[in-house]
Amino acid sequence: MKDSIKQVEYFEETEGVVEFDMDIDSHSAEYESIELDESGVQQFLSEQEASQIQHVQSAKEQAAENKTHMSQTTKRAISNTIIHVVLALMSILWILPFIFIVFESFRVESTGLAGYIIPHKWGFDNYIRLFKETEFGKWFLSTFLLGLFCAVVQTLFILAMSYALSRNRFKGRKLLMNAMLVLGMFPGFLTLILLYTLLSGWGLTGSKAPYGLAILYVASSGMGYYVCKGFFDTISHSLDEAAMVDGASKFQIFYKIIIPMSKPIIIYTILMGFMAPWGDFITARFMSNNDPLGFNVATGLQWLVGETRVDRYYTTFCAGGVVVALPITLLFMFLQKYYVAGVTGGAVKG
Amino acid sequence: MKKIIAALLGAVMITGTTAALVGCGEEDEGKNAKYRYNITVWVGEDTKTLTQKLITDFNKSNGQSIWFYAKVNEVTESKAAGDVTNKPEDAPEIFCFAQDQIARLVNSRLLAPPAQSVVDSLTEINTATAMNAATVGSTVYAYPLTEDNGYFLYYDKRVISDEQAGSVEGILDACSEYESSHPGEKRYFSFDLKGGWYVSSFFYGAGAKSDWAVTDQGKFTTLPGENDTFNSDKGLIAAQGLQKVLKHKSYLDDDTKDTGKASDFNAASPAAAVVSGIWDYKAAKNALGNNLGVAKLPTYTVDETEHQLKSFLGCKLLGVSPQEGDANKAAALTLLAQYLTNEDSQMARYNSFGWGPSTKSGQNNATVKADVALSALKETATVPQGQYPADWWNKVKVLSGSVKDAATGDLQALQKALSDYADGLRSLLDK
Amino acid sequence: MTYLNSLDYLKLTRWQKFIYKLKCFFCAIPGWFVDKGKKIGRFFKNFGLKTADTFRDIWYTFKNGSWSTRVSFLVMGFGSFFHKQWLRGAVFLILEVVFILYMVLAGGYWLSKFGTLGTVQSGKQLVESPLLPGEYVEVTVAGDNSFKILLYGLLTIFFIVALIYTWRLNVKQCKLCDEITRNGKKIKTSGEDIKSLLDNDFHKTLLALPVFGITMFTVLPIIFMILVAFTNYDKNHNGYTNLFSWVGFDNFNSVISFGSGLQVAFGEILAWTLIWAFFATFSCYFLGMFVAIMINKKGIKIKKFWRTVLVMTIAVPQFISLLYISNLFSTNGIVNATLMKWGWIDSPIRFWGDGTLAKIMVLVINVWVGIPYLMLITTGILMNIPADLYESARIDGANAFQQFAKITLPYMLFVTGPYLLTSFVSNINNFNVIYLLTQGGPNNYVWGDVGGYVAGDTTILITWLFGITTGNEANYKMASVIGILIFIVVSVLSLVVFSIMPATKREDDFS
Repeated sequence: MKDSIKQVEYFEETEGVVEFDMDIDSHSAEYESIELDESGVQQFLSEQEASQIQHVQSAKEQAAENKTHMSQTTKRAISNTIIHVVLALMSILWILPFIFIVFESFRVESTGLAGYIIPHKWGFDNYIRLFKETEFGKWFLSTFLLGLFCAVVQTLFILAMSYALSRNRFKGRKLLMNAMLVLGMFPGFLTLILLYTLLSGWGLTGSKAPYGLAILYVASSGMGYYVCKGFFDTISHSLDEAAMVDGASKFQIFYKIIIPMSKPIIIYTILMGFMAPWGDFITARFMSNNDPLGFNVATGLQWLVGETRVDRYYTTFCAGGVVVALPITLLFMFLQKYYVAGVTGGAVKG
Repeated sequence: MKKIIAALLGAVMITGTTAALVGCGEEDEGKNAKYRYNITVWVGEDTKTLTQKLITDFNKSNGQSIWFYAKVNEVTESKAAGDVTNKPEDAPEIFCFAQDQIARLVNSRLLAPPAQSVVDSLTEINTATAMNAATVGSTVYAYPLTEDNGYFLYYDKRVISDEQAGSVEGILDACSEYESSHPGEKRYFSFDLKGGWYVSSFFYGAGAKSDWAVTDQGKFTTLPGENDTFNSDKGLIAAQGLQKVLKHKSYLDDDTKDTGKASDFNAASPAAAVVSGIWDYKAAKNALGNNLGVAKLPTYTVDETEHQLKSFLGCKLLGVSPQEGDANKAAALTLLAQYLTNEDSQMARYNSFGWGPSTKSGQNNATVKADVALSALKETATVPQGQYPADWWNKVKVLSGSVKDAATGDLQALQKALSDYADGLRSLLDK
Repeated sequence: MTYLNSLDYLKLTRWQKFIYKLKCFFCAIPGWFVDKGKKIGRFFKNFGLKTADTFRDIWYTFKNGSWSTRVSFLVMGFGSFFHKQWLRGAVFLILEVVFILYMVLAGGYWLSKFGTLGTVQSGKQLVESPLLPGEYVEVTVAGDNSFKILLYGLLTIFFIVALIYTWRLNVKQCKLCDEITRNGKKIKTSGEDIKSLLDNDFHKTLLALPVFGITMFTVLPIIFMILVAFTNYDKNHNGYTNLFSWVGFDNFNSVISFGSGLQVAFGEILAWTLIWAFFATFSCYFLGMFVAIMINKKGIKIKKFWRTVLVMTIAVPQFISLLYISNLFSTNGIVNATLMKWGWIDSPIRFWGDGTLAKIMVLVINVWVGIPYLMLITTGILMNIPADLYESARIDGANAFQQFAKITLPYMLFVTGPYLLTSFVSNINNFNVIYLLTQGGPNNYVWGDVGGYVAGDTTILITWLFGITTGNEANYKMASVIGILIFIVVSVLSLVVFSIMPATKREDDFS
């Protein structure tokens, strides 16, 4: 666990870059680079590991004699160039659809579908129309609030669930975990019609759909304990035991020891909770029962490109897509390292 | 960490309270009315504003007795019935739907028939075709809203001459010619022959038919028998004509997207001809401007005999949900529905969106008669659309797909597709 | 299957070793099932014994208990009050009162109708209204509502089970108190109870709300849908205007019976679903890992930029990006038009029109969607691989590929085993990619037309279910049957893999 925390710190310091080497045609070139990177490497290697590197360093001199320095460096340069080219091509492929969408959102001369991508005339008209002519502002606000709500409540639920399952051994624990694993495999949206009836009975559908959705998103969120529990599992039990000797209650351990140590996973959970409502168009559409007041962004934007509206609102739809993508992209850019740390700390350790 | 959570909580609380404070009362104009109801109304895309205005007019027109506080939502006519059936308890009081859904709605008992005097006045002002569309078995269940649900041809005059637009062969040839004179470009004939509604045009064009009898309860209990002649010599002719179009390289063949839309004129490889209805007129006009040609459906030739494609002519209908116990509300809704579909309202709809009226007076109106799109529809040979089991359209869709999959000119395979279709009809019957 | 001893095993060539391992794996499966079967048998035996024990215990508690305990059998919480455990007593008592009130006011009604799902069809009545003088208006007379009867009946059963459980707790509690008083010890006070909820019983506090939510919004709906499979709920019987009723196993018979269109379609779609899930999972997994290795390689510049570019695909909602991509590749779309303009192709490629091509397309675009996630996850895990492993490998003269095959891959597979399984399951239920790209098309006219919906070549089970429930027939009864079958397939598959996989058995190893 200590290592993983160290890594996170290291991750932050170096802008999320941890270097390690995979292409080793040569020996000597590698050794050289280890020397160069040693200061960085040692930051996250334990002392023991560092001593091993010392060991390796003495061995490298022998190996270095085997091949000439120059050819290795060139080889390496070539392979790096190739990788750079591949990455550049990939980035283009990955980003292209978004660039296209952004372009279309600035198209002024027509508002429907078009057979070209680069606008003939540029302008912000679509963004203005998006907020003036449609109820996008309302949809955006309600989705944003839903996102915040989920970020908070869902995180609390998941933390509670994960801590209970990770740190306590009680009767029925295995059964509970297996049950949740199996329940997750049932095709969820079959139950939509029932959930609709339930929520409709409480008046939380139609224009009040966002409230109903808030309940739906959060209620079963405990089932997403998997990643977080995996993270808690990696925190050493000796900390708990030490605290218990000092007379701390389980609540205090949870609040004062586990939570502060789980920053990456908590931010990861918050991030996931916040993002969930933005892309949901099936549940939200079903619950809104065609009432625009109950739409979220996804349903609303889809509604904009309905059968006859598409001719007038297609470019506006693209503008809406860009507006939705912006906050999430920014969030992701800043919190990327937590996502990585969270997901590695938890997702894979089950 | 704590700061982040605190900030999040704070944001939720602040925005929540502001949201709650926004939106306080307006003056209540209808407070003196004797019968006051909150209702939900579903109407077609883009018609919300007009409908709201019409409802307000209705409120004011009947003295101080009835006042509706209506929430008007736009729901595509083809989807409305599905949502009403799925969530019957939250069905809107009044909703707009396409004619082919009426049997299904009646079968699910989700339509309240109008009172007799209203039926009488509907019959008086509307055409027989429209009244027939609103009738299931022997009962009138709905209020005709338009009589314009058919399709005809939009074409690009730069590619297709008026003469070529008269036959599918001409259209397809014109596309090919354009392509050979403009290398690297492509022009399409966009006709949604994946949909049963459009595929039928070939069969009705060859003289085949499929007429179904429906009971008063909206159930299909008997096979059409000799009233279904899709599986016949005429059907085989239609299948050959259909195949000719489907297999042509200028036919826009896209399996996952709906084709036959005016937006295809704007595609990267644009359409030169689109078969669609009056709802696409504005979009087509926007796309092509003065180059837009509008004409009746073309003919197709099989064995050197010309056959005229025939479009279904259907209606959009207004339905009223059954009310539990409250006779006054039911009566008031009947009156409102009648008002929303009367001659003036239909003309208002024509003036705003070009929807073709189902009233006799509306159809005789000089402006309506001169309307480009509506007259193209009128010139097109049409078949008044009857009642079909909901799944029948799928059967025709599968028939069209099998015709496409068959080898060109393989009459045996086409015949098999037709007999498969005929065999499948039994599964459409309601138990 | 004969198992080799380790000496013989070492003699095998590499290929033979592989085959041998594979054989072992598959031969272990029947054994696994037998083992599970035995376990289930044992479970039922234990269950029977336990139930008997419970009843005996309840009887002895009554027989030997103090008078307050005996009263508790009827008035829950009385014993707790008697022993001055005010909090517990109050909770028990309130629960009982609420339960009785609920049963009298509503529960009894729902439960009594549960067996038939309603008998009174809603009717019609002609009534006069002053608004239409001299005429009759048709209004509905409310009848039963099968849907609600099924739903609230089920809820009532949940309540009853919960009450029985609480009653049992109440009895146990009294017995405990009796014993403690007999031994002259002190009984926990309410204050101590509350304290314990934050300490030894802290997990109960934590679990209460989440588990309640899951029960109400996941377990209840799933049981409901399972029950629907035994009714005739569809467009002709929506439960509100037309009642539905129990039909037993009819729906299952019509899916499973040989020669029915449903059975053929189910087989075809199930096969493609599994193929899709397999390839979607592993293509993203390996390519994502590959990309992560590339980006993290030493000497690669602007790493953060590469990552951010990839991550943007996560940020843009799929219903926008995938719809857009789907349009790009349509027959008259920009990709085809551009290729033709450049003269690379003469006639358009029907990316979505040909079954095989469409399948490849969805898999490829799924890679586009999936790589960023995998890249992020893998980056993190790669950091965890001890660097000295690579050092020693280098000294041994291993090249890049060997290092990958001998160190990176085994480590990754070991650590991400459970992740692979969950992502396989989520791919089986991956609605978005398929629905937004192809809506399940191109339509398959040979076996696709069943249940009021024409399924296609890329239709997976989940999009099929969507089509069936939203299609012409609103065929919920069939959808439920198919849902149950999917559920069985997926859960058996993953439980088998899960219990064979080594990585899952080490829950406590990290501590």
